[in-house]
Amino acid sequence: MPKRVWTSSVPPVGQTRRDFLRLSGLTLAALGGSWSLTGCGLFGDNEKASGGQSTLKIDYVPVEVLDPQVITNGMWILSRGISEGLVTQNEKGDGVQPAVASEWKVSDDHLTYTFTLRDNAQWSDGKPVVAQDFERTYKRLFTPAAASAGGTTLGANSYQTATGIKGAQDFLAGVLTDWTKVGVKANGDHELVLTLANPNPDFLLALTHPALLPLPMDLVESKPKDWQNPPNYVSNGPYTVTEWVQNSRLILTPNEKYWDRDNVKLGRIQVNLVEPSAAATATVPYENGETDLTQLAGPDVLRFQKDANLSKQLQQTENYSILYLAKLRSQHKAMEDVRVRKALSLALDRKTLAGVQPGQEPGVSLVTSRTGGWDASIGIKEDVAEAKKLLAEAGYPNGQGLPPIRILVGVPDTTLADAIVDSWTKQLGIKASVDHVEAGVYTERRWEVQKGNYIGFYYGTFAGLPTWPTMVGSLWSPQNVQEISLPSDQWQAYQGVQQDKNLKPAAKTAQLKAILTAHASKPALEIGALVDQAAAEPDDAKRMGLYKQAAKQREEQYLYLPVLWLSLFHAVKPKVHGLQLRAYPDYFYLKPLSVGS
Amino acid sequence: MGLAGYIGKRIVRLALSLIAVSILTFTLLQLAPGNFADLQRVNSGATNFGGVGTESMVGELETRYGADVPVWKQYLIFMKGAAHWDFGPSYKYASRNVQDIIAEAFPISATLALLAVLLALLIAVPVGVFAALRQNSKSDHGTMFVVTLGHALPSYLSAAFMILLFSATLKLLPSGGWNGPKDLILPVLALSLGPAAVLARYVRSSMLETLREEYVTAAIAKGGPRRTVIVRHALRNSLIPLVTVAGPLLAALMTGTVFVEALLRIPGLGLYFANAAASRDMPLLMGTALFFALILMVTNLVVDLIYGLLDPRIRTVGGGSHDGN
Repeated sequence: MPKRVWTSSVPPVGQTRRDFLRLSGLTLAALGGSWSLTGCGLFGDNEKASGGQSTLKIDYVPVEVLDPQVITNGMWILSRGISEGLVTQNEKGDGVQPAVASEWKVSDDHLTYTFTLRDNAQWSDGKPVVAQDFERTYKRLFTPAAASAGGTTLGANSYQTATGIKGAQDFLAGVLTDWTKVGVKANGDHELVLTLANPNPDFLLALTHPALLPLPMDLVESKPKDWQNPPNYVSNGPYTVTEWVQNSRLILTPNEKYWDRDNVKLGRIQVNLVEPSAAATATVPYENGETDLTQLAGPDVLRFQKDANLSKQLQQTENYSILYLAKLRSQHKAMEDVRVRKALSLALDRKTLAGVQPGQEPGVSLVTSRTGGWDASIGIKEDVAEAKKLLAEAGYPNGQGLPPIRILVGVPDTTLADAIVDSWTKQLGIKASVDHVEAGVYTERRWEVQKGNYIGFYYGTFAGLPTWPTMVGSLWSPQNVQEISLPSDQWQAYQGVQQDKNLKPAAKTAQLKAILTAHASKPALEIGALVDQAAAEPDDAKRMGLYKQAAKQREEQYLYLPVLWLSLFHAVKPKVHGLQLRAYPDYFYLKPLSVGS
Repeated sequence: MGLAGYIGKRIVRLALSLIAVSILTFTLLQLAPGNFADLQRVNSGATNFGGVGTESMVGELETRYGADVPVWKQYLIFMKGAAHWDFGPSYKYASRNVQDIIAEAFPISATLALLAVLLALLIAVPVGVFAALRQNSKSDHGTMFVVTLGHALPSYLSAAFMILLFSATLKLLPSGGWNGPKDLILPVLALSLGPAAVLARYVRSSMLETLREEYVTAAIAKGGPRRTVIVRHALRNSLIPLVTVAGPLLAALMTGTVFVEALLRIPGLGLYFANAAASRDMPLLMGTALFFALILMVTNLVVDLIYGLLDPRIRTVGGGSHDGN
């Protein structure tokens, strides 16, 4: 038998080709068998849809985490009616109604809120919802991040500025370590006492934020990783999560133990998890009957508005969010001159900008007109002639000598940013351009000190409760205004302290505050003082006056330029009943919804 | 060198390649601007904007790597886990481990890829043979023109076109989602067009080559029925080279269906991979990148072994071996 000569190539496999084919046939059969066994597994449990019960299908953005204390899109689906807090918002979203708490008392000094919890409130696993559940959940929220504590809170920039619970912010910053000094206390099973540092008429509304929803803490502590994954998932709202296929869907079914089960009308809700898309196919699922409720983007809104039938299915939520520009820090000093910033704001043709996409309003202030007590006195009054005069006074007549103004954008759609650039070039004759970058580049570049003659703004949108403490104290907060007013070199020192891992929380907080006190602009520091005063002011009229003053002063710094108040559009099938849209990031509650024929 | 030695050598090479891939991916991720925490704040409706990272991520990092671990050490800790098939929790999908995500999502991508390659073969073989038998005729040119068009059209475009046709206009199929077998049709169709075009060209040229072989001429000269000669002799042998193309195609599809998955809302691994890169989710990106590299290399190895078996010539001549990296 001649000896085979092997090269570095392939040695023989099996005996003959027939062997091989037999083997591969077996392999394929095995694969096929395993597939047929797991066939349903490939698609999850969705084939087991509840027969005959009313099903609602809605679209939502992908949910990565079902923890209301972690800042992700997931928290805004939870607050719709998977978890239920002490109170929920009323139909308009400007007040609250009882939820887990059946009633509450407010002390005469407006500092102590005593909630009485329903004795029939239950988790979906049948355990009662008790006051300790709330205390333990809030303790988790206010505990500085550490692996041992679940480490889920936002850190010192959390929502505490809006809630104002006594000691919460200090506890979160690590300055205060004694939990008993924080204003959260459970008295027995059915009484929860929350104490504030200062009176806050919007405190009850602030409690509707997802971060303040209760968690089944026994489960969270015993299964720190797995408590969010069905079948482990337990909730206390009208619906609970029975299936979660990430990047595909959430299936919600009624919480049979819910205290108001009789008023939960749907048998099943399929939440399709869909990335928002501007593709031509974006509305096909809705028009194809695969979803009953979806959000629409600009061009699709126009198409729906023009269609006799579809236009009836369009629902608008006005002033849902604010489009703003924030000053970039630069080596070049042009933007340090408030006259230049003011000129750019005064020269924006907001009316034309509002016409670029449907349902938008000129945003003349960072505080939207939906905020109770808002009036035009805090708004910007556009004036191109004045803008040109200001530019000339600052040393840039007709924009001569002024570097191009850039708008740093990190979202896919630059339509509005392009329109802003257009507005400046038309009205002022200056050079401007959109700098469209990937989201990661955006997050990094917007905090850097820009090199050379790169000057301009970064582009952002914000949404929050239309209340003064939120609009002035929390969004573009005094601290944010002070930070953005720092000179470039001080800003770098400030960031150095922020990133110093060797500093204890208390020391870090103190050092950061010291830099702001010494180097932030005087008006920015005054805004902080005004907001502090407002927060402590018991008299309603005086308090609103102080907030307004702070808001006006903030506008006059032109560090943040309001541009547009944006609307949000939903397409809703006629068979959907009980939809109550509110201008709040969770848009609507699931509880009142039902499906007709 | 026997088979075991050969495979051993290839496995060593595969391991070295995986380490290279891991270092490259990790380094690129470190160099990429932005980090998970900041991106999370911008992209997730966070209603405040301090410049520091989300504490949840810091917590995750501390759990996994200990507080303030230098970057190189993080890499080593990650790789140590990876060696035991433990990539740790994803940053973005914080309630799940990366290996669980892979175990759940990869079968979906793999199913699409396998069905798409099978469909591509079903289309490509008759089309390629048809064109080869009518070489240089109008029908040959016409077929090849259509094939070239199919090759040039990216799968996400054909997917979009199919959504508009089958869902929006004809209302025959769901436009996406992952709820049942019906949802397989559009993605498999969209994914199979490109590979079908590639394979059809291969079948055509391979068939043309085989038809020129002496043994085919001899078989025809012996007066065998043309059909039998073509199917029994020519086709069988001309399909052998397809193995070298279909294997890598399959691997490429398993790892490259991201656009179609995104467009058709299919929770496959491609989508996770893209999300991991966009959100700078280190464990998920590293885990999926390593897994994809492994799939590609193993597929190449298997292709080489099968090819060696199907075509005895390369065993003695020493050709056609892919390096698997």
